[in-house]
Amino acid sequence: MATRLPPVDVVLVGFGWTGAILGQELTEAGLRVVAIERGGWRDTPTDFAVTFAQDELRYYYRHALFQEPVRETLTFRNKTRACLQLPDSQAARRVIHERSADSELTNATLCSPGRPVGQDQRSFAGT
Amino acid sequence: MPPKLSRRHLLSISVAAGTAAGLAEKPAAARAIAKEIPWSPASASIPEILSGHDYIFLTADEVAFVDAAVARLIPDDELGPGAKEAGATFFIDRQLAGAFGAANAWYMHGPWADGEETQGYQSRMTPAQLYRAAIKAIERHCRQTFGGKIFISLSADQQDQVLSGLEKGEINLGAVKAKSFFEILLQNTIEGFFSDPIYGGNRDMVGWKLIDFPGARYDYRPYVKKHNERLSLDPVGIKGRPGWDPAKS
Repeated sequence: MATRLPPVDVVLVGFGWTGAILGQELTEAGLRVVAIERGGWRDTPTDFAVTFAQDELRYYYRHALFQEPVRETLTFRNKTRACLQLPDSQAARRVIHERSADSELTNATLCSPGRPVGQDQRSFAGT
Repeated sequence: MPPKLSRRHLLSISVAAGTAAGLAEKPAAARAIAKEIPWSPASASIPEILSGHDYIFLTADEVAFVDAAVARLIPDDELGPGAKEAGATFFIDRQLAGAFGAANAWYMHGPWADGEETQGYQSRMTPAQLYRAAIKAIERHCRQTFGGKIFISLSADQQDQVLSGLEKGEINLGAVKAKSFFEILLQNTIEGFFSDPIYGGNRDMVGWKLIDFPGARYDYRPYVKKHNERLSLDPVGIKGRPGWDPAKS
């Protein structure tokens, strides 16, 4: 059964930088706005503070900013040679992109532990 | 090229996978946030601070094995201490005792077809289970191959021979994939040698000193214009270091 929520003027799908700016502008213009974002709340001072953001083990190797694959994975492994995985949070993707600038972004990065991916991973993840 | 998937096909598969994987056990924690910012100033999810010096997960025999193995992967030599001296075994123990060892965040359900080389860790075992089973199987292999000797009693050359057999997947460990274990052991050894000391490895920042890494510094502006100079900064960890004064750095 679908849950019917009260109607609003605008629904933003995705609440990253673009969604946040749109939300600001639209609410200032007097519209009622709902933004939908996937995963837990992330903010820089709490989750990625400059005093510990350098922690490569936590953020790069253990993927602390990513949504957990245990919750998020929908997979059909190699039988169909494709695999669906929902995209990670903006911040986490940013980390990968930054890292990929100076190192090889190989499948090894994208297919890190416990994150089943297949040939189609990039297109599904929208990266 | 993999076959193109229609949207309908994809949705039906998603539903099936969701059911098969038992996602109902751990539903996504949805939350509605209105008229507030779910964030309070001066709070941060600071890293967990280790306590104690005792091994939690590894048994004494396993500690001896891991000590010997990491000492071959990053040996103590004329350049400085190796992974064993840096506390990589203690680091590995605490990692295995925690969320990493239990694969808490990972997708650990089937289907269980073998992964591709490029797909990373695909074992059904959690890292903690893998270490336990692999060490047992490696000791069995050593006793059979080297006249009853266990890994720590072998010469350095023989230990290298075993490690390289694991790396190449030439040693049969039964239910455990030798290559998977070698990969995770090497990865964890590197982590234990170079991670911030708050995780129990990289003791006295020996890993960072070896490569002249200045550590988890907040700000590099004083050094931006110093080109082609050896800065020789003492490394600073997330918790600082003994004798380090944040006001003067």
